[in-house]
Amino acid sequence: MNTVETSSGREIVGGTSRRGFLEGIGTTAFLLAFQLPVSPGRAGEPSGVSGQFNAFLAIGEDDVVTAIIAQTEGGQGNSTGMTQVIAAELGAAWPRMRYRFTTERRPEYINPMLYEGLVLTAGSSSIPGFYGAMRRAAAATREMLVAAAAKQLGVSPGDLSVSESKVTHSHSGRYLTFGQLAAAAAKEPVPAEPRLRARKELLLIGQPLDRLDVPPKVDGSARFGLDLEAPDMLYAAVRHGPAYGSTVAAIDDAKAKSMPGVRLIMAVPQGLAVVADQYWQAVKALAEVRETYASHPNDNASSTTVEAALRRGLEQPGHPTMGSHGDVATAMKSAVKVLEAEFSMPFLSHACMEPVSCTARVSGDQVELWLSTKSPSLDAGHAARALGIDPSTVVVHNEYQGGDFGRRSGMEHTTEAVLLAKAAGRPVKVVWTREEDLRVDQHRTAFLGRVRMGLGADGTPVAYEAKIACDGLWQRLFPWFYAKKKPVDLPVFNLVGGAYGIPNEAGTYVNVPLPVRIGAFRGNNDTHNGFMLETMIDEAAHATGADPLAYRRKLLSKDARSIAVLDRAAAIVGWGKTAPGHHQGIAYLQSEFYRCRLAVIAEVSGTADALRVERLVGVCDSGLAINPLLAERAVEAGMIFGLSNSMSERISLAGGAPEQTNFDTYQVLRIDQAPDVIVEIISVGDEPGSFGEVGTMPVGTALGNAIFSATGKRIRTQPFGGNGVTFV
Amino acid sequence: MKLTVNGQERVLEGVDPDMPLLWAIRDLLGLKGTKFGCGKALCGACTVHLDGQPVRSCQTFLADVGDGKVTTIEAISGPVAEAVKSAWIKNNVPQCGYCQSGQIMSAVALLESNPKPSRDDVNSAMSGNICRCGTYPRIRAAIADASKHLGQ
Repeated sequence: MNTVETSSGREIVGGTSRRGFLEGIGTTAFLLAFQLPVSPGRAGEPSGVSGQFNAFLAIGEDDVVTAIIAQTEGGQGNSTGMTQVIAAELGAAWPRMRYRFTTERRPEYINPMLYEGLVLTAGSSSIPGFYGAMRRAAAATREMLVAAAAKQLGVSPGDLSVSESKVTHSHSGRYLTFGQLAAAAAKEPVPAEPRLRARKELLLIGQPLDRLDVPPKVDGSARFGLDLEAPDMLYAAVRHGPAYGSTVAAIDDAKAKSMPGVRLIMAVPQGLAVVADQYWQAVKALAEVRETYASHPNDNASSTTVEAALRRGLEQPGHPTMGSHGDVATAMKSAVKVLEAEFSMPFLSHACMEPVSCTARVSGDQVELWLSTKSPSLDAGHAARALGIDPSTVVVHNEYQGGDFGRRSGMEHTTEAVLLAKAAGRPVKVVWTREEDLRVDQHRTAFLGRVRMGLGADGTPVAYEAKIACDGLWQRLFPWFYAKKKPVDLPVFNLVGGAYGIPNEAGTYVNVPLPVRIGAFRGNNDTHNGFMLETMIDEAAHATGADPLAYRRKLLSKDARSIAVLDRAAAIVGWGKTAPGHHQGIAYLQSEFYRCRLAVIAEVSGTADALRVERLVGVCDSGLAINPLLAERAVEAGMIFGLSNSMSERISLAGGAPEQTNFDTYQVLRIDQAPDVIVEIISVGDEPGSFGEVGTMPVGTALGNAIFSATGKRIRTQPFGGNGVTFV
Repeated sequence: MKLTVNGQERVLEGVDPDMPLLWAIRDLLGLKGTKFGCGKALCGACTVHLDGQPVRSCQTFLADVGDGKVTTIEAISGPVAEAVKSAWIKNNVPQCGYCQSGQIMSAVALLESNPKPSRDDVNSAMSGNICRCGTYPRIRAAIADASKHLGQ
């Protein structure tokens, strides 16, 4: 895999492009191997697929083509989209396509866009990251089928065409099916540089095909990590200490150890586990265990101390971020108006509907894991580190994931499962309750930012200064990697240097280590950095008497694709022509990393005391849409996820512990407050971009701007609910 | 203890009567289509039918099931269930899919009792079922489709 190839031929804008991002990452393989035992070996594949031509596909004698998917399906639809790419390049009939997941950790599956060296599903990169490799694999297979057919039909390969799972001799109409050819084709030499089909030959690309994973998700047969079982397994219930990092000091299990089914009660790195024959027995016995925890510096952490730490952070000098340019100080002095504001966002939990679980079998040096994971590399590494073994021996089983949103890499639960399985001498399934799942998440960082925007005589921005204090995902999830890239971390991307072309910009990042675990979260940095920029752009429009849509159009006027998404969104929603009592707000996202231009408009009704989100409109251009239906649904879902985040979600801390422990206190969007959503996809060009996360990023800001239109209140603290408005 | 699930009487030996029906269904009977989501009847992922009524199996205890007939996603059937499942497929409702067994069980119960629900009826009946992926607009559309189909 070659990262340069992935980003070649791309327009680079400012310092926040995909290439800039890749350069920010660099090579991590050595450091990963050193710090976290990750192996690129072939472990994890109990059995190959018969008729397998390469890493990405197999052809059976029954004409069935199986796409082999190493990226994980957490609902984003990538399994269908990747299967579609294989079928299009190969020339397969869609009804004959199937897919299967693999957790094999072979080089072809290493994500070329993120954190080199890992089999990892993240950053909305499945399709853009593997589009070229999948097409080359399918094209090579197609040429092997043609070569075999040419011999069998006694014709020239150039006279053969491939479509509908057949290789056809154009002149005579004679044909052989993929199934008839597969065995012979597999013996043909693998072409080093197969010819890729032209766009117009890729008939399945751009088709809104139905998701392939719907039927098993409707009849209950789809298997998620929590459904997978190991033979003869026991069950474990766990409870973690109050603060992140807490360790058990003493255990009183006098009553629990004699309860029915109980096999083992022991401390795990951050808490306590009960292993029993049945999960309910483990849960019941755990309720009778009394343990104490050693004191820990995080015991005193609260939302107040977190806010104070972030506020102190903003007073630190920090580090200038990429994308800074020009002379902000001088430009601010020349500005006719300077707007200043402060923004904050809380910790969030992912709250995937499938709580965290991991099943482990540890037998001598043979280790198997069954879980929902976005990265078999990382989970094999966690297991290997806990056991002190070679990660290449760890076999990982993974099917569907009950949500991901950045959550699914399992340091704690994988570690617990292997330690308990080793101690119990039998396979153990660790199942976290919802309470543990919400409390011991790898949370989205809390965030505080302060900005100034200077406006020139014509009302447009002449200077933008943004300073942020938060924790860093790389630092927390990949500290060995951060050590190399420091002070660059994910929060700095897209802080300044964006699409509006503001002539003078200065970004500053202050890392503030926070007292909970921090991880990836759908939208990541673009959510908080966009919240500041897009709110300020809105404020600038209002401050200068401009319409917020027209103001953005003016700033983006040189880019036809930006104007196209803005205008289409405005047309769908009827911008400025609202029903009585309805109010609108707009936000725009442009990201070279995601190849995305997205306009989102939120429409609300009511008053601050009883505000209703009536509808959301999104229009997205992320380059080529492999499957416009999947793309539309991904953007829609991302918008609803972001809406939920910004309306009502918040993790607060007291005594070191998150105060929200289930869906009564951690309030996620339910259907009765879910607005109607209209999304349109504008498919452009030949290079696919990303759809999975982008909807999340601007929607909260669009809502905030709509709230201002409705109430005159400029709320810069999320969630908006409870911070100035009440939603109904 | 006896339990009637999906038309079959099953005998569970030495089982704690306090055990939630959810864990009996999943771990003792091996029916994995019913999902664990919250354990507190707050999310609806574990919804099954008990004598035709939707219940949260995580807060329904074996001692309370008695002679009741339990139906899970694996065996839900009849014209309403078929209409709902078809509408779910036609509308490509699921994303991650984890909550969808519970969504479908709730939707079937809604349409069994109210074949032509209003939007408010749908929102009210389905508000106990969380979908973190945000398929709510598609759930509303699918229920409307199923209702329309059943009315024909």
